[in-house]
Amino acid sequence: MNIITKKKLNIFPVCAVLASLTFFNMSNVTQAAAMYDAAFWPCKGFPTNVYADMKHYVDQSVTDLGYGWINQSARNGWDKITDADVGYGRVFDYQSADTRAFAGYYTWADYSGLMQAYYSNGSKVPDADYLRPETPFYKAHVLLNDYIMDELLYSDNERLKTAIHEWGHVMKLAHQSPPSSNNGVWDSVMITGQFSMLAPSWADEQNVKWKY
Amino acid sequence: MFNRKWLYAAGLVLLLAGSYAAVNQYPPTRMQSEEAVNQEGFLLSTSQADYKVYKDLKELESFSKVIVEAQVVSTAKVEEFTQNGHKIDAAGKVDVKVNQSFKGDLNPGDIITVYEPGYMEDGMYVNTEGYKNMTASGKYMLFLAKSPEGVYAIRGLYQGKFDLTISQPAKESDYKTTKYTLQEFDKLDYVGREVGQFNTLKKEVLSKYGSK
Repeated sequence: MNIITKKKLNIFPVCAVLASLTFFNMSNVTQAAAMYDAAFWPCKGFPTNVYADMKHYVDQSVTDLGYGWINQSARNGWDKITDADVGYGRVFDYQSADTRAFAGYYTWADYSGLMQAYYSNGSKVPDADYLRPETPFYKAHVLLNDYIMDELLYSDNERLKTAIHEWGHVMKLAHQSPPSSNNGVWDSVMITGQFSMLAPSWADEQNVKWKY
Repeated sequence: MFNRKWLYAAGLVLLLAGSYAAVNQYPPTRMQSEEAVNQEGFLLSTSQADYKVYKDLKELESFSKVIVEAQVVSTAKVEEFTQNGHKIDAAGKVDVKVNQSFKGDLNPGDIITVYEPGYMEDGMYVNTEGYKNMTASGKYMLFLAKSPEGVYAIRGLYQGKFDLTISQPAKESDYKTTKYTLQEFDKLDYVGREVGQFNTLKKEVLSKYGSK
């Protein structure tokens, strides 16, 4: 047997072992966050210049119920993403604001947070229009439900995650699917549910950088 | 050759272009949804929420203050909510009569008012996260939150109401961005995108409560 033939026979079992290890690893791969186009609603939302400097109104209720730092931290989480033209500027005039934040004791509703986009005539944007690239947002409201978050014993970091999640919707980020296995990574703040997250994830940041 | 006519024409073009750009920064009228008002059928408008996701029926039961089987006994109304003079939210409101009580202090025959995260407005069905409102023809398992003030709301949004008269699982095609007719809509139990979560819970509900 010459040297070349001997080398071939030695490589084959190594390749077989590597291939089988790769197969088993692939079967345990967790579901990754949707990226880029797939992470966003197709609608236009606010004009680009508005996302760069969103006029933001904070209702007194946000401060009164102790959500001031949560609301600010949530917006800062998106604002500080480098290489993304996203920013907020506080205004004290409700009418001129692009985005408005409220917090309250909302016993009629079992959500921890809610985002609602509106047309200029005050009506809500229908689902069909979220799919249209030309659909604008005129205003967007973010509501934080202190009643539910108290009742369900949300921690501060879980409340923060809710706020970051809702401000993500303002930027047209859609919901992300949760990881499909127990060993999965909760790799996006846009996953629904009660869990802690202190800032947008790496995947969320990459998506916002790509979009803005 | 340059003359005044060309100058006037260019000026007119510039004027028209500038006017178009100014008006269309924020188009004054809503788009597609106006059709729903004037024609047969209606569109969905789904508010984007963050909420607790219940991993199974046992967890849903443990977080519900009241569990009843009930039917609708009133016409649904819509209640609007304001905060510091600003409209922030609305909810459907319907009376239900308790047929059976499985948890809580209600008795058969009691009539309670329940807030639903779904209602008709401006010719659209407005809802939070795919909740489908109750009708007089249904028989419902209700998992309810109850505030200290005695306000009943559906626990977990779409996760807390199940029509026992609809045994087939919800389908992804039950959610659509084209118009629904009332006839097809009233045959549905869920009109959102978390079909897997809804069906997982409903299967357990039917198994435990369906034959009672």
